[in-house]
Amino acid sequence: MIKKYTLLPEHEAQFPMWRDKWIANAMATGPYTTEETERCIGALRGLYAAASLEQPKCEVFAPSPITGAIAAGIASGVWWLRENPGEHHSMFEAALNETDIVTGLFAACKLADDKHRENTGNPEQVDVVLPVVLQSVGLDVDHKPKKSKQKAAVVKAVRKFLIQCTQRWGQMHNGGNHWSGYAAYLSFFRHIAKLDIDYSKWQHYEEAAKFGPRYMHAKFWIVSARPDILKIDDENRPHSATGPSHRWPDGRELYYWRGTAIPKQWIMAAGTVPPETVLTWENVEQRRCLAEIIGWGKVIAGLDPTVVEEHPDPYMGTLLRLDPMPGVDEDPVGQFLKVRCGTGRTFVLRVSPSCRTVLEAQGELAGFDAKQMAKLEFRT
Amino acid sequence: MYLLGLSLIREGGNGIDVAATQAVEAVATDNMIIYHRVARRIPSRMQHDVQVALWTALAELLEAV
Repeated sequence: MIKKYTLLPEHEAQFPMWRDKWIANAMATGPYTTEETERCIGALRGLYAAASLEQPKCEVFAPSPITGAIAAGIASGVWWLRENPGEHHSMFEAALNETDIVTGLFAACKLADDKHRENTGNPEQVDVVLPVVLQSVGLDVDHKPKKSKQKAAVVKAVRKFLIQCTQRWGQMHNGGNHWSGYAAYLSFFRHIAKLDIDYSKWQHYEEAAKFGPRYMHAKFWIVSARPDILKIDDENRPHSATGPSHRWPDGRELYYWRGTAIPKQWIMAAGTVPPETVLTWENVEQRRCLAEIIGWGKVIAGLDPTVVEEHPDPYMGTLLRLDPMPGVDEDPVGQFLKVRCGTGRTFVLRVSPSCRTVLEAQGELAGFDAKQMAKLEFRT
Repeated sequence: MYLLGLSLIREGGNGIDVAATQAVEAVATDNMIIYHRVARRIPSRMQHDVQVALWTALAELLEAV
């Protein structure tokens, strides 16, 4: 007779606690402690053992999931070249030795690290991909390469091959704490429902889910650091009005506004963004974010609007229109009601281009028609 | 009966992805209640955001090589 598990009231009562515990795991920040690092290594070794695979000799921590993915791709390419010498000639028209492969490794890492320096805008940014790759292929982080005797074209072709290997990162990837939802679900049965099943293999997966994304290969594994900064809004969407929403120890940053990715400049140097960008930026979602960041008031003020009507009551407001601009396909570009609210603050609200008067605009915002608006004793 | 699944092991290309996972067969609808009321509440945005940034970085690299 099959015995089915039935959700008990005392188990259900623990849903919020269990959910919050794993949400905290997903959103964790800061460096690993020594104790955490040891637990992580134990979990990774446990996973290989659970899968009856040989333990990789190269156990590596990366300063971010992005660096980890790029490094895993390059390192997997290096291992493949080492193990498949018979393929070299058809790929590169040359037989590569270890020096040639390592020269290609350095060239590929230099490209990746130069791109990282370019993106961070920091020419002093130290290499981040190279040390992870070197450790992942069994070399010291301060390894000094010998000079390859291959032609420059061959080295360049090896570099290209290794960079192309980065596209295969997904084959080695596990989300770690980014996949907390799955771990929360399965571990509920272990710790709350306490099902009588063998969790000796699962326990390693559950433990590894407490650390960053990882890349697992027959010859190495790489576990990513947690972010230093992870900021969200009240709906758990990545969001920061003052800096990056995500930042990792290697300097990689992401900028988000209420869940939408935006350029760094919009947060860090919003004052330098031309106001017309709000109207001309191609991505509409990002355009909306920029309007919120800068504020319609500043945008409109910077674009010399036409006053359609100025109502004597500032609580009714002033109807403004932006004339068509080159590169903007809306005609007219838009109308806005600049209005004082009951708290004394002034807002600029977008209204339909069909509004001809302040009262029509007010009516549109309030859900009345202009005649009804005109009969109001006062506006709050 | 709860079935134990082990070791989702994918082999392909240059890498081997090892994830020793255990699957619990959904023999009771309660499983899905737990899934929706617990697991689905946990943000999956981090995964998405990081992957978008990663693919952008890789596109730049591939274009440069």
